[in-house]
Amino acid sequence: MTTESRLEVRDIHLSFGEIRALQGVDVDVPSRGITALIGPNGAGKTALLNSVSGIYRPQSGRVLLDGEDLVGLPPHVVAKAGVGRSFQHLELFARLTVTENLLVARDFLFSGNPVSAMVFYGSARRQEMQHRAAVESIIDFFELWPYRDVPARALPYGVQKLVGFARAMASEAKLLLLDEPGSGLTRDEKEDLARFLLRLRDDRRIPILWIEHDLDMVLDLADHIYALDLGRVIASGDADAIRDNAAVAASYVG
Amino acid sequence: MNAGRANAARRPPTLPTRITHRIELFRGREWVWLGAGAVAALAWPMLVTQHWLHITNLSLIAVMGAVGLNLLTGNARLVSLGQAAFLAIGGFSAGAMSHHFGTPFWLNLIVATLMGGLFGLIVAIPSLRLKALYVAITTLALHFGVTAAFAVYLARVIRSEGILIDPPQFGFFELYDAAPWYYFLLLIATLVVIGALNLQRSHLGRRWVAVADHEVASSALGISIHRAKLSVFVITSMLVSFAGCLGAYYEGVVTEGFYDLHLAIAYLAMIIVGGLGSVLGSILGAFLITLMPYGLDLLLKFGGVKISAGSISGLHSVLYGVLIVGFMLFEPLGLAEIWRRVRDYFMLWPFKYRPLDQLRQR
Amino acid sequence: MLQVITVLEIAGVYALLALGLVMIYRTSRVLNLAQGELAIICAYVAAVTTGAGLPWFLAIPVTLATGAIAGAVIYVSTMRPILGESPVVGIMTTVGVAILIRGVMVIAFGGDTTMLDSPFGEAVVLAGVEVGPEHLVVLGGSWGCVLLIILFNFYSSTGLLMRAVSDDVTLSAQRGIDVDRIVGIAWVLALVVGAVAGYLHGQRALISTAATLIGVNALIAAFIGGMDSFRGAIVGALTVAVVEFVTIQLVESHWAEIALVVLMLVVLTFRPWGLFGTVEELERV
Repeated sequence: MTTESRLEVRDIHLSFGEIRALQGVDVDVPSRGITALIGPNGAGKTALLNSVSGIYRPQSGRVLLDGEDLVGLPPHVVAKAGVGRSFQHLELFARLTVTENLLVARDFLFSGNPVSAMVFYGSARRQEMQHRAAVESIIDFFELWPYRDVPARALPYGVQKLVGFARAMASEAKLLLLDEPGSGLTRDEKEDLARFLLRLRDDRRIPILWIEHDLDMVLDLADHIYALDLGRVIASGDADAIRDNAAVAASYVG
Repeated sequence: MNAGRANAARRPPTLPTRITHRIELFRGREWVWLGAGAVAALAWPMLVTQHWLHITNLSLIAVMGAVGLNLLTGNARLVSLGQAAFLAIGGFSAGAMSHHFGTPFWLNLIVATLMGGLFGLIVAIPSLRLKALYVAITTLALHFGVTAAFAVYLARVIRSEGILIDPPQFGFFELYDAAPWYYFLLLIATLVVIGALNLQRSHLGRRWVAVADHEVASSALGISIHRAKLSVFVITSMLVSFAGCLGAYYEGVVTEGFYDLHLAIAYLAMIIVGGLGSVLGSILGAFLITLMPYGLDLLLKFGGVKISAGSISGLHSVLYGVLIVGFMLFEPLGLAEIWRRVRDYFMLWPFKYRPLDQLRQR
Repeated sequence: MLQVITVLEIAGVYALLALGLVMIYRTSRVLNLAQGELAIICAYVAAVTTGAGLPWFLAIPVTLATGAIAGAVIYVSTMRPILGESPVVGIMTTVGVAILIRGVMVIAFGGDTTMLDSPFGEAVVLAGVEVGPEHLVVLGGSWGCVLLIILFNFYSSTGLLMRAVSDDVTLSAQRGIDVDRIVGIAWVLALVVGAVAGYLHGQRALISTAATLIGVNALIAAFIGGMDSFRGAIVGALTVAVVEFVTIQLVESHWAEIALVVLMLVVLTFRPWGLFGTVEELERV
């Protein structure tokens, strides 16, 4: 298993003063398939994602992306290493359109100095075209056609969540971290989300680490599930194993 | 990307993917308007008196400064009260160079621009770790520091109220009269405007807006926040000092009193009235605010009102204040937005909204 | 001795203005760039009313009332409508207010420079040095007010509510605190204190449009101390006053501004949140 892991989280400890957010968490994300993180509020799911993407710096432990340690790297370096990230709340760039939001995710793929940007001819123009073409294919993938040139602040909630998801993928990431892409969505929108997740897994073959509160959805879609509570992994395995796990049932019900 | 092609089959056939179309600055009928504007601009010196041509020249210089400030404050949301300081840095660099070394115009212009960048860097580095709104204080402090330094320099080194600067020389031709200045400034201002528009549609411009809108999200997407803030600060400071240098050459003299806080606030008024984040807004605002004192003069003369010079300057301040507060409260997107609404109203009449199809293609 | 008194006087005026800035910042997260202008226009009001023959015990209340009214008007007409918008909007609006007041000042008072007469006539001998009555007024008035503000903030119920609002606006609102009222009170109080500072400034120096520089120095003081810390505002005011006084004594007044800017940039490079400011958290994601 370890040889095929895209992401290996090893014995991560993270605390803020007295509060221990993560206490020795181990998680493996294989290079194929959807890995889900479940758990009640405050279990440390988002803290784990933030530790991977460099927003928080864990006190100890390792985060290996294809064998390379990410701990201590600033977020923008982690992103460049190939980790795409979406956020739980709406963290789109409000003044930019959907297309521009996706283009920002490819920002580090651009080269060139301010002068070439001011002249906007030759290489700068070619790059812009090329990245816009790439973004168009993502807009196609997520069926966002009607919203291309709509500023993010004017989008309906469900579409904003979807754009957040699309933006995480726009950087040609080799690992996606999705923080509750399904929260607050209508039933139809959730169906769409499930479709995109499966197509991402089967067509584009990008490994996903996915936080979700909707247990039924997770049990339906995820290939591998980790259940977190109070900063520890309390159970892991496939859907059947989780469904029958007493600890998971206890943390969710009581 | 094979999967992408598989999806292409699912895409409705009418939807556009003509990317060239989508990154052009102007399209279709807009070129006609631009052409008409260019003809009018070229004929302008023949249509107006020297006095109004002089005012136009001042406005063109203000356009460059306002474009720079608007990139910083409108796009990157870093409020700068250091506009007058950066203009002064440009002006005084040119003045000092020509006074001490007698260097030519083009060299002084380059030095002035670089000095602006250097000072931009000096303020930007400690401001980087701060919340964006604190930049207002660091730039305000810079304003007082820089103007005090120049006052000391004038008193101790130059021993005069100001430094005289000879007009720029191009071979045997001396840039002195209003009309040649006009064409020269028109050319440069046009280049600056195009450069700013290009910056806005480039990845740099997007990056600045993204960092201003959400720092954590942009860093998680691979953007170095420090580099983004540094670059916007340095580039716009260079642009403003460039404009300051041209302004000093146009005036023929640099004095400390010219670069007061009032000037910095006048520039803020330009971009707020014109429209934050809009290049068109910078142009509209620069012309409007530069014209305002002269318009007010005309109005007072027409009305037969006589008030003291001091009161007039007070009146200017009050007007700036009213304009800034009024636009902030009632139309934060400024004249550019009002212009867009008016244009849409007439172009779409009798309808209210664009046809859906056109909306997609835009 | 006289030098110490001078520094303490300057520091007292700065401390009052800086405390006002901190009060406004803590409750509404707005930097009030018009603080200096508002203080000076109140000083002008004091000068005009005493000039018209009003005794000091009437002129001072009129001055303070001017500050209170200005605070209420600014809060209701410009700050409340933009509540919750980006801080950029707030700061620009206060810039607009500042230049507006400056214009009013020029038109109404012609940019005259005036000085206020001291309410008391007798000089006092303090530690062997004869100290003019105006010094006692400035010293006592400013530091007395500083003490009052601190007491108000930490021992009154309104002060408690203000601290709650500054900690967490949303939670405070959910707990039934009338946030709008508290922020309004903060603005009014801050400008009353600003009026006091303006009056005291008029006791020891000229009142003119150039005097609005005290607002800038107070901003620097509050900033060095940490925008959300009362203790910081006082320490910052003392630091700024010392630096200003020493450079003026050693060189000249222009150098004081340069020294203050350098001081500020150095402090910010090593302590971005000021000497006593709380480190503001990253945005939660």
